[in-house]
Amino acid sequence: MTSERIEEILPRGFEDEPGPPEELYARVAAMIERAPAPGMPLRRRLSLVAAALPCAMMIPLVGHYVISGRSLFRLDMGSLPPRQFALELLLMAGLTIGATALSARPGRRGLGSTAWALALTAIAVSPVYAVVSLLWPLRSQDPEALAAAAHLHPWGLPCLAIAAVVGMLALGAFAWGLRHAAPVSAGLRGAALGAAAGAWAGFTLFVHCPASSLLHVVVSHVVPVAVFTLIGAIAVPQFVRL
Amino acid sequence: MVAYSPNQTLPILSAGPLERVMAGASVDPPVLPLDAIMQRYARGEAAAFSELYRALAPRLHRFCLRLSRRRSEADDVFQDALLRLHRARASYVLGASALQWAFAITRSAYLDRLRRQRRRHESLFAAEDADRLLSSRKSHRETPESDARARDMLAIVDRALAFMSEKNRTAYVLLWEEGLSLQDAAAVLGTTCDVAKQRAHRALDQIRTALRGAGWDEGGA
Repeated sequence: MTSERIEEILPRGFEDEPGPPEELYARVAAMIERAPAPGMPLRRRLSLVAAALPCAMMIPLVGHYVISGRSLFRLDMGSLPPRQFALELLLMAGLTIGATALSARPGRRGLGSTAWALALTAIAVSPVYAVVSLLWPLRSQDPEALAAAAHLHPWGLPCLAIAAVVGMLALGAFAWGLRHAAPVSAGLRGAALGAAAGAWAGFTLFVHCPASSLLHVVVSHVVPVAVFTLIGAIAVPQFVRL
Repeated sequence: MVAYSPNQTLPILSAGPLERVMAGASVDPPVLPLDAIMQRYARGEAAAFSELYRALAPRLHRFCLRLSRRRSEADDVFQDALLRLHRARASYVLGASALQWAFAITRSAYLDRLRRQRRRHESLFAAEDADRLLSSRKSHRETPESDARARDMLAIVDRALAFMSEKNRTAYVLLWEEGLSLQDAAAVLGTTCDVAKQRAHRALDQIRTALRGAGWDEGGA
């Protein structure tokens, strides 16, 4: 048997499968008639999610202002080293927007980011956030700002509550926006979306809380980012899986 | 069957279409009206379903058969995949390849089924089903002898596919049997081109080993 003949056998042999039996069409058509299908296109849903994320950020901040009278943005903003603040703000915003884009984008083929990109997002967000927050903390030299920061909860429980609300709202928005829209790598997509939701929570605290003590930053700023990645990996795949 | 001679190489695994694809040869995607039909269906035109079914069903059902290897199982995966496709039609990105999207959904449906079966410790391999499947294929061979050889080879490849990992099997089926380009197959698998290529190579290695074990070589069968 020549090489050409062997090559011919395989593809032809597999192409000769008889098609689906006739009765399957009637069964599938009947099932589909009964099954509801959401009508809003994915891109519109994702646009709504993008619009909802800043709102998710503001809701707990406004709530905190109403309850305790604390300002929406960090008290020491005017007295921070401008270059460091601008650079960290850009880094945090880039991390948040980048994680969101990588995890939620439908892509040209409608199959989303590759597994590698999703895994990288899920793995990298928490450590990057931790490194920036802990190794390069923003500190004001203004005595008034320092005095205000000294009155903050040592563990940062209000910040933890803010992070929880922002993260849950963001994760809920992602799950709704991408509901039944991830035919590929749903588990990794969930983890990446969780990391993106955590990044939104972390970014909110970055612009809101002037604390720089280790315990406060670790417990209420860094840990929630990691926890949301975990929640995303566990709870989101069942919503987004196709 | 002629005994395997170690000095000879199996040409099927050295110069096949898959290798040509992997070597970077351009593969022109067929111009199908499928994407246009899918767009209509995605926009909510329910009547487009019958057209979509006609265009998609033969390849999708064959893909289900190659993944699950049992006809009853394949029918279930096929139904589930079409139901998911219907449920997610608004998620279809206009301009994307409907076939790739449908393959990805089908694989997702199959993987869910596989997970459920593993949880219940059900057997995924039924030799008698696979044999029946092979014998049901229509014959296009020139002689009964070549037909018998083809069946032999198909049976060996089929069994080799059954015993390899789902990832390698799917990469092989998409690249070799469905003729997808490396980029398209990688997208359906949710991975990079290098990984898809690696998986298909592993599958081919396993098939090569199985064929050699059964005494196949280019000298005859």
